[in-house]
Amino acid sequence: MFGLITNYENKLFISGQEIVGVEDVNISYSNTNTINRFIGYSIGTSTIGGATQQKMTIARNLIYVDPLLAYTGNSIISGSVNYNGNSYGFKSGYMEQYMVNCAVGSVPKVTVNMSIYDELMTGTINNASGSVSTPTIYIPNQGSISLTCDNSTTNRVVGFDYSIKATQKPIYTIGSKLPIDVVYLSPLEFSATVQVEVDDAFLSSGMAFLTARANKTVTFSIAGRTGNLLQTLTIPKASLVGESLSSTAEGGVKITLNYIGHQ
Amino acid sequence: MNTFYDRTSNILLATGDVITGLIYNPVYGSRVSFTSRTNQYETQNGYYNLIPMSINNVDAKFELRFDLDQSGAQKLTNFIENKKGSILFPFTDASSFYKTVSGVCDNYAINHINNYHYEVATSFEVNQAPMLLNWSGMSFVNKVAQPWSGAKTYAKYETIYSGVSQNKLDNFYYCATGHTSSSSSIDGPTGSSTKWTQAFFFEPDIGLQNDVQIKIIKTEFKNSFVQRGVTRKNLAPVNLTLKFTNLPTIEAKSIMHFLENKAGYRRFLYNPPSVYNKPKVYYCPSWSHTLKFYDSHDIDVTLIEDPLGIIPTGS
Repeated sequence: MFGLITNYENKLFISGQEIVGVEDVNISYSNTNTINRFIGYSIGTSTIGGATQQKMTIARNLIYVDPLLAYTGNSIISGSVNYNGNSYGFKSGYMEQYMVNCAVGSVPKVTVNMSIYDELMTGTINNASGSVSTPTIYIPNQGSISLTCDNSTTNRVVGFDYSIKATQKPIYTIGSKLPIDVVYLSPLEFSATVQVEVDDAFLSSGMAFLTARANKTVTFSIAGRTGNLLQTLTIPKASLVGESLSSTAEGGVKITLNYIGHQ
Repeated sequence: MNTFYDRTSNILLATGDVITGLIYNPVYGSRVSFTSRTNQYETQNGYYNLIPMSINNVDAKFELRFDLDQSGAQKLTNFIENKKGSILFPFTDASSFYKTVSGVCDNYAINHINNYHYEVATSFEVNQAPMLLNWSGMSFVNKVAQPWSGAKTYAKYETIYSGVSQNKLDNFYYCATGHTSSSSSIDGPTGSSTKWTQAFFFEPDIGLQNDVQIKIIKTEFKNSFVQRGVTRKNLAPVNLTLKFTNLPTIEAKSIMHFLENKAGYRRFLYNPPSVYNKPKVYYCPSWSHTLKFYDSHDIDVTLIEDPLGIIPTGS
């Protein structure tokens, strides 16, 4: 009583595998409580304004082959947070967004946002632990991360943000609290932002996108410092949709490139 | 390629894929609207004479939306087309708010969202559901009203069937406040301390706007001025359009039961809860219900004031 569950006393499991390297996990639900107000009365009532929203966000270091990347799209995920011999979790989650942040001087970070479409609850029925072993850990450094994009061969890339977005639509039929189906609305949407310190690069023509699209090759490769490949991230059918150049009194010239793709 | 075929059916399905009933459940947001058909005339002083057109005077239109994959959309539209807009088929509401009703579908629309997702909006019309037979059940709302009994806990909006009137349509009472009934009938439907009502006592949302047309006659003299005059009583009947949003099922069912019982022409007492402080009698020619989410409903009600101010019995 009045104790504290510390970070090493709770574990996160996703589809039978313990997820390690987690910096932050947040699991939450929220309901829309609409307060109805009536003509001629000073009191109101609490009413249901819509479906229950249930979310999970995991932020972690990318230090092994990411098991979560396989769930982009239409794959069902189970998950639970376990402590004190009990668990709180779900059986039917869908990844909405998969994001990678990479910057010079730090370990790459992965953030995953999920929507949950069954009922979050405590108990063994929603315990997502299992026997899937955790892959071997390889910690990347900036020398083991490479990328291919515009201006990347002769200019210093100092960081990038990568994102995959999947759109799902839950189908609630009359009489049901939970969706009877979750429809995946393809395609996956990819985006990336690359920050480059300029040596010889210039921005592309401002209206180049109007005449040439889906014509870029953007690939990020993240390996451990010993060279073991952890992740290859690409922007399929990449288009360069925007760039910005900034020059400040405190530093050199920097270019930010924005790519969009889909699959 | 044979393009000479009867456009009654636009989809070719394997025999095993043809469905013979409405096997899909509509999604939330589906709506049901009720409209009464009456022979109506207005007398000199603004009194209404309403005669329902047959025992099937109330038409219900179920605007049902189905979210399906391509296969499901093909099966559903094939089923609808096979009914030719004129063959009755049943629709069963999975939430049990409504009874199984029988109607026709003469219109559908498809929103082709993507290859995996289609929204099929259908219009299912029920024109042959009598409301005016002398019975204690309902044609649409799935609610069985039990007799009143003593020493029983009643929630607000519960409905009972009293049996105090020979006209069965007048036997329904609605619980105006949650209570536990006494063992005597003092707080029964006809008791001196009754907690039951036959008036429209439901609380509409704030934001009500009403418009009153003063019913004068106006003579526009040619190439001259306009003369206005009063030739009758009841110049300013207060008609209302009430909105009820996010209602729990018990309240929504109670309202829909009440309005169905009134069949679009029977009068009832309703005292507007603000500004107007004289008792009024209304009838409700149309109302609609949106199944918004689990235990959450929206209802719109149109009320027309009958200035005669009498609630007839035996009708």
